[in-house]
Amino acid sequence: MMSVRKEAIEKLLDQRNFKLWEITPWAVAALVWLFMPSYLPFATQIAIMILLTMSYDIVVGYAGIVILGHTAFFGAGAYAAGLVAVAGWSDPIFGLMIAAIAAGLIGALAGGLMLRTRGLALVVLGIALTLLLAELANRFSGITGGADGLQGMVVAPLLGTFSFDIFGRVAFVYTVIVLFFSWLVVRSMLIAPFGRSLIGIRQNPVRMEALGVNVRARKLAAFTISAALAGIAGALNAQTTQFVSLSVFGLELAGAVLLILVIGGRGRLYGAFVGAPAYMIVQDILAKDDPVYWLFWLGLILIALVLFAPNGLLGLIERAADFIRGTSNASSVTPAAEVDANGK
Amino acid sequence: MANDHKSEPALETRSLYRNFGSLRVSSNVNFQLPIGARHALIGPNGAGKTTFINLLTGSLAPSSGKVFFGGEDVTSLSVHRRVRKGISRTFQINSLFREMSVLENVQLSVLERRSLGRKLFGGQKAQREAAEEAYDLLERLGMTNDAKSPVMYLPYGRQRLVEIAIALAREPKILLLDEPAAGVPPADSHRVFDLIEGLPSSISVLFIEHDMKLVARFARRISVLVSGEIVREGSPEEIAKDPYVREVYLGHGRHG
Repeated sequence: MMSVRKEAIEKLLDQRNFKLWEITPWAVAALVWLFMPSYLPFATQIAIMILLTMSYDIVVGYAGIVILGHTAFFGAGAYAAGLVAVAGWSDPIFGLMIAAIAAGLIGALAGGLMLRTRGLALVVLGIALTLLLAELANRFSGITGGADGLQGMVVAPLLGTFSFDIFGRVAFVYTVIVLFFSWLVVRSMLIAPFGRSLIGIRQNPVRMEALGVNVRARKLAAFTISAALAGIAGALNAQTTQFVSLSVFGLELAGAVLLILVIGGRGRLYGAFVGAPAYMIVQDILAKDDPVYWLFWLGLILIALVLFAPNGLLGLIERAADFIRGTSNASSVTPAAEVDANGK
Repeated sequence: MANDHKSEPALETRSLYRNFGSLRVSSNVNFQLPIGARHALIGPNGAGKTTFINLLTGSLAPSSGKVFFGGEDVTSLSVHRRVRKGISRTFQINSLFREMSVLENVQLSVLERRSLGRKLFGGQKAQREAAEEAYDLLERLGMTNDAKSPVMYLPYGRQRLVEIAIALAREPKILLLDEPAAGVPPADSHRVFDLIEGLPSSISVLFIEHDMKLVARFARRISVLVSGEIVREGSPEEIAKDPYVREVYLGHGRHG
């Protein structure tokens, strides 16, 4: 009797435990470092997109707050880091912190207003915020450089020792380390009661409220944390390229992040780690082979994915793993598909 | 005066009105639920029973009138604040975390009762303790066989039990059961009945029910709601005999 009880409780708590496969992204990063030195700048871009997508997943995938325009916070972080560097505070870690605070503040303020709405209104407000910030950056060109981009950004050596080199070696290591610590923080947040309650809010906000939860306040907390993380991604982008342009606020980027999350699999933490490389590598290959019509092929791949892998590549992998283990229905319940199937 | 507070009803409404446009769905409802009550609210479809529940929980604001818990005015409090004052409910249609296991559904409720759901980091100990309490509750309710199963794989009737379990995990003073046996196949309904019968007497229970068998079995008092108004209140025998009730409710009820 006791063992049944223990087993049920251990199974529930097992969600917290590190699994061996979770080292995969870091092993891959090490392999890239060792064997693909010419790809480091591209790999750095991928790592930044992973971080941005991971921050987006907290809001969209976990808490079920569907927004478009997370680039508002990415852009705010990029400009914050860029501006402090131009102003002379060129330490990269300091820049990251300023970016996180700036983007987090904007997230808290905007979220306080935006999260009163839902559905289409929320999507529109997210886009509006992005447009608003982009236009502000454009309007105050004396500070931001406007359409020409932010010039004259100098980034001091990392920890006062490692100068950012032309081959992007320091930039890569720096980005991967920041990604690693961000991932640690996000992971422990998502397995903590807070993260599980976000999943509860996604699955059933009315019931969550009926359990005594201030749903809006908790969504706002998640939104603010997510915005700060997106700001860190933006700062990394600014620091590693030593340039910020208005395109950081672009809706094109906002759309790409959404696609990456859907491709990878939302509400899964690792969706970003699968989706960002898949999307960017495919984009890279297609654009090389067919510079004019590559978007056509991308579109085709996306349609196939959405139709046949509604839970993204990670959902496919989970299904394959379940199949191999011979447990067809038990372990991996798939958020997106189930919600759709049971929506009535 | 301090003693007076003790004798306050667990739940009370005074002159409660709620209009939807020109439609009056709650009309001058003066209702008292004494501590430890087993009270049923019956009435024909569209009488405003669920509206009344929503007014009590705070999902709906009244057009006028007041709601009191234990003598305290809670009319202006939001849903989650009222929950923390000790009211808990089940929904007429199952409203659960379908992708989570039964155990986690209950554990989530325990964590929120202990105000630990906000915990950003760590929380392993909190989660373990809450899971232990959740499991013990499931054991008392005879539901441990389902503990590990995701809610969505359970038959509807067993999901009904989870509804009640997560409401109980909040350790409410007042429990509102909105048609607890609705949609439960007759073969399983005894489990719902047994569960309700076994509720501790410290909980004041108000339930909405169509099933007259269930009403007769548990209710010590019955209120009859017609067109948003409480038209009769009394013991089950009185209500069963009342000619007006027979006319408006039982006469048009699902079964004679």
